[in-house]
Amino acid sequence: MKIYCRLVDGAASADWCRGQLAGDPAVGCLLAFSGQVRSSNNERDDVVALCYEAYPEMFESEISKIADEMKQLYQLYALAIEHSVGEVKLGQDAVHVVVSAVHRRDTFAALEYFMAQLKKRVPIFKKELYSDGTQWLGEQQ
Amino acid sequence: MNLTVKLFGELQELCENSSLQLQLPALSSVGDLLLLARQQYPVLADLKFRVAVNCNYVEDDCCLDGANEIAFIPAVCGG
Repeated sequence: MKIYCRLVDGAASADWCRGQLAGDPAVGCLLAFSGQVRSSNNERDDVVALCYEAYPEMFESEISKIADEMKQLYQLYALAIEHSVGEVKLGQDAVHVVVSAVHRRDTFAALEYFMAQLKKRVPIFKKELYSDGTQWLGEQQ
Repeated sequence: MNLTVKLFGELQELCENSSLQLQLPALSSVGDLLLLARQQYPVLADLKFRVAVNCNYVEDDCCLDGANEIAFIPAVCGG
């Protein structure tokens, strides 16, 4: 399985992930996910931006481990992820993920699995910025 | 052995540093490291975080001999 991952300063762009995977005649389906910064969470509705930090070396190794698990679970051909570090404003994208496979069924299940694992174990840390302060966020589902 | 522990996110802010320098005897475990770190940096005492050694999550009984890179990992929150 092919894996492409990178961290980018500021907002993420859909182009890079799709560019890594598109055009390969071996696959019949590319499925994309975009995570966008929103103004509200469970406690507040005045979020003005998010600020991400990452542990880059472990980001790559943990993505690789998740990909190995996905290879056992699904008939997946490739995975690409681009995740933001630094500040990302409301409405901008913080993460893009694209998976590819011969058939669509595997991509839907694999993408859901990947996002759940990303939020559980990949060392990316998120701080919400408000007009009157900031708060580091805990683990989310 | 002299250990450098990388800090991230909230831990980095609370300790006002990107890493901790700690000294432990040979054959010490992650549990020993956590005990010492929380003694020397009381701000860590009530915080929940995981420990990674050489970019792998480890438990308290993991031996630190051969640990090239140690990190305290606060709550992760990608996406």
